[in-house]
Amino acid sequence: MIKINFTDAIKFAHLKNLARNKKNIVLGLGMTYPNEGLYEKFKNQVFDTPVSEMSITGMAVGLASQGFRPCIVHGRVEFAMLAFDQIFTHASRWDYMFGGNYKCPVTFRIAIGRQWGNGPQHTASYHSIFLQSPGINVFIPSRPSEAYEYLIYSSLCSEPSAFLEHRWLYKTFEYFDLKKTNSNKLLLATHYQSKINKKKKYLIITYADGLIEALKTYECLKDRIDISVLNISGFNFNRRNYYEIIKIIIKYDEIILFDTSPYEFGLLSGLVGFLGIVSNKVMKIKKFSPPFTPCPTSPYLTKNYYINYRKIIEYIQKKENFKIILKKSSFDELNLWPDFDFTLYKKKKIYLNG
Amino acid sequence: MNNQIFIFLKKILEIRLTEKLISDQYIKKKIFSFLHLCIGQEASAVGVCSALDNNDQVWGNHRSHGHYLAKGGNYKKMIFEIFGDLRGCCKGYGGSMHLIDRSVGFMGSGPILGSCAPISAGLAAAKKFLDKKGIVVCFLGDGSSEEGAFYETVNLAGVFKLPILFVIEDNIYSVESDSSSRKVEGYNHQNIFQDGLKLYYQRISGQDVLKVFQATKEAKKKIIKEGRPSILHLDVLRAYKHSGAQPESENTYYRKKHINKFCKDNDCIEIVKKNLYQLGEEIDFVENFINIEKKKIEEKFHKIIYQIKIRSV
Repeated sequence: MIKINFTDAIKFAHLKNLARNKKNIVLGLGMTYPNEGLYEKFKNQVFDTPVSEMSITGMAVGLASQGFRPCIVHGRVEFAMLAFDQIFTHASRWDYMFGGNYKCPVTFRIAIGRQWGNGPQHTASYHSIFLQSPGINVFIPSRPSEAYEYLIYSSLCSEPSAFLEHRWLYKTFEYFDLKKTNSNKLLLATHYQSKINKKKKYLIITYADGLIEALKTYECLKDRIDISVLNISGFNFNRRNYYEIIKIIIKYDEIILFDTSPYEFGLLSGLVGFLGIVSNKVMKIKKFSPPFTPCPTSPYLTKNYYINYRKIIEYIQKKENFKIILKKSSFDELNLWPDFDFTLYKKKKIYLNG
Repeated sequence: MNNQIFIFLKKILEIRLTEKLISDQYIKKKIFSFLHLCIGQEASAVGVCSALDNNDQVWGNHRSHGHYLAKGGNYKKMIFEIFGDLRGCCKGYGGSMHLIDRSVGFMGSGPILGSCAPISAGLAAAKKFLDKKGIVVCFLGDGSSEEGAFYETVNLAGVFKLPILFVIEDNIYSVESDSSSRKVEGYNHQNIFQDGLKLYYQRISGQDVLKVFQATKEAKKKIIKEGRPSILHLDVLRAYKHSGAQPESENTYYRKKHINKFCKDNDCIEIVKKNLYQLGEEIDFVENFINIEKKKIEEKFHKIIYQIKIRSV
C-alpha cells in the first residue's frame, strides 16, 4: 500500500490505460506539460489541443466511433459546457440513434464543483444534467481509489462516460494498493456502517466532496448513535443502479442528505423522488445544502454558502439530547483544499450486480 | 469520358427522382420523419462522391439523402429508414436525418449544424493515427459553416494535419435567411480559409457535376500529398424548401432576389445534358436514357414502399 492523492490516482490510471492499449489516448489543453507525467512516456498517445472545447470533444467522439478510446480532459465544467452538443447530442445517443452496433466509448474527464476563490462561473456542478442523459455512464469519485478505479473502468466499458472530478478533493489521499483495485465491475456506492445497533437509525447520503463532511460527522457520532454514511458515486448508462441504492436506504429511519451543490432538482433530490415512487415506507428526510444561488468568491461569503459537518452534528445533538464540544474550524480548514486521509474509514463497496 | 458522364447522370437521376417520389409520399402523410430534400443540389453530392474510393469516408448532415446514395449507400435501407420501417439503416431509430452505411464509407449524418465538422475531424484523426489510406469528406451547408465549431475544427484540422475535405454546399439560404443578412459586407472566404487558416480552398459552381468531380480529385491530391486539409466551396441551388416536401416556387416571399438563378439552364441535369451534347451525344439518345432510368427508379422505389406497412401500425 502506498499513499496516493486524488490527482496522482488519476495520473496512475491514465498511465495504466495508455500502457494497456495504443488506442487509448488522452487529449486536452496542457496534457503534454511535463508535470502531467504522461507525454514523456506516451508521446503518440497524449495530445495538447487548441482551446476549442466543441471541436476537440467532437474529434474525440469521432475517434471513439472508429475504435479509439479517447479521454478528453476539460479543466472546468463551465468550459465543457461549450462542448455539450458533442457530449449529449452526439456521444450519449450515438449507438442508439444509429440503430445499435456503433459504439462510442469516449471518456469526458471534467473538473467540477467547489474551489476556493473561484466564484460564480467556476464552481458549478450540474451533475443532474449528466444524470438526466440516457446512454452515458456517470462517475463521481470521492476517494483517490475510486478515481483510479473509475478512470480505468471508463476505458474498458463500451459506452461513453462522464468522469466528474471534484477539485475540492485533489489533495485528499489514502493508502491503497493499485494492484488490488477492481475496475472490472461498476462501483455504485460505498457504505460506511455504524457498529452501534440502536432503535433509531440515521443515514447520511452524500456524493463527491460531500463525503469529507459526512465522514467527519460519522467520526464524531459513531460511538453514540446508530449512524451510517452512503456515498453514491457510480451510475451506469441506463441508471438501473437506483434500485440497489434504494434497497439500502429503506433500512433506515431518518435520512440526512448532504450536498455541496444546491439541492433543488439535483442528484440527491432525484434520488429522493425515486425513493418516493418505489418505496411505501414513510421516512424522515432532512437536507443540508448550499442555497439555490451561484457560489460567491469571497471567503466572507463562502463560509455561509457551503455547509460543514458542525451543522449536521448540531441538528442530531438536538434530536438526541447530547452535547459534543467541537474544536473551532480554522480558516484553512474552511477555505482551502483539504488534505483529508480516507484510509481509516472502513467501507462496504456496492457493485452493480453484486 | 462520355461513359463517365452517363454514370454521373444516372446517379443524379436516381437521387432527383427518389427525392421527388419521397416528397409525394410525404404529402400523402406516409412519412413521419422530418425531411430535408436535396432536389437541385444533386451534382455536388455526385461529383464529390464519384471522386472518392472505398478508402474514403463521408459524414453528412440533415440534407444527406443525396450524399448517402452518391457514396453507394444501400438504397432499400435508406427508404425503409425514411418511412420509419424497422428494416432501415438505423432500424427506425434515426430517420431521414440519421443515415448510415459504414460498408461503403458513409459513416453517419446528423442535423446539428456545425457538429459534423469535429466528428469528421475525429474520423480523419483515426485514419491519420492508424496510418490508413483515404480521406474524410464532411458535407456541410453555408449555414453550418457559420458555426464556431466549424472554424474551430478548420484550425484543429490544420494543427493535426488531418486528411479531411470540408465541402460547403452554399445554397445561399439558411432556412429562409439569405447570406447577405448573415454575413458582414465584404466577407471573404478565400482570405479567411486560404490566407488565414492555411487550407487549400476552391470555390466553384456546384451545379456542374464534371467540374465538381475534377475539383474534388484535385483537393484529394493536395490533402494526401501535402497533408493539408481542404475546403471545396460549391455554389448550389436548392429547389425545394428547407424542410418538408414543397418546391421553392410555392413559397411566396422567399428567394425573390435569386429566382433568376433557378432558370432551367442552371439545373444540374440540364448542365449534364449539355455536356453530353457537346461531346457529340444525340439528343434522342440522351432523352431515351433518362426515360429508361426514370422508369427503373420508379419501379425500384415502389417495389420497396409496397413492403412498408407503417401507416397501418
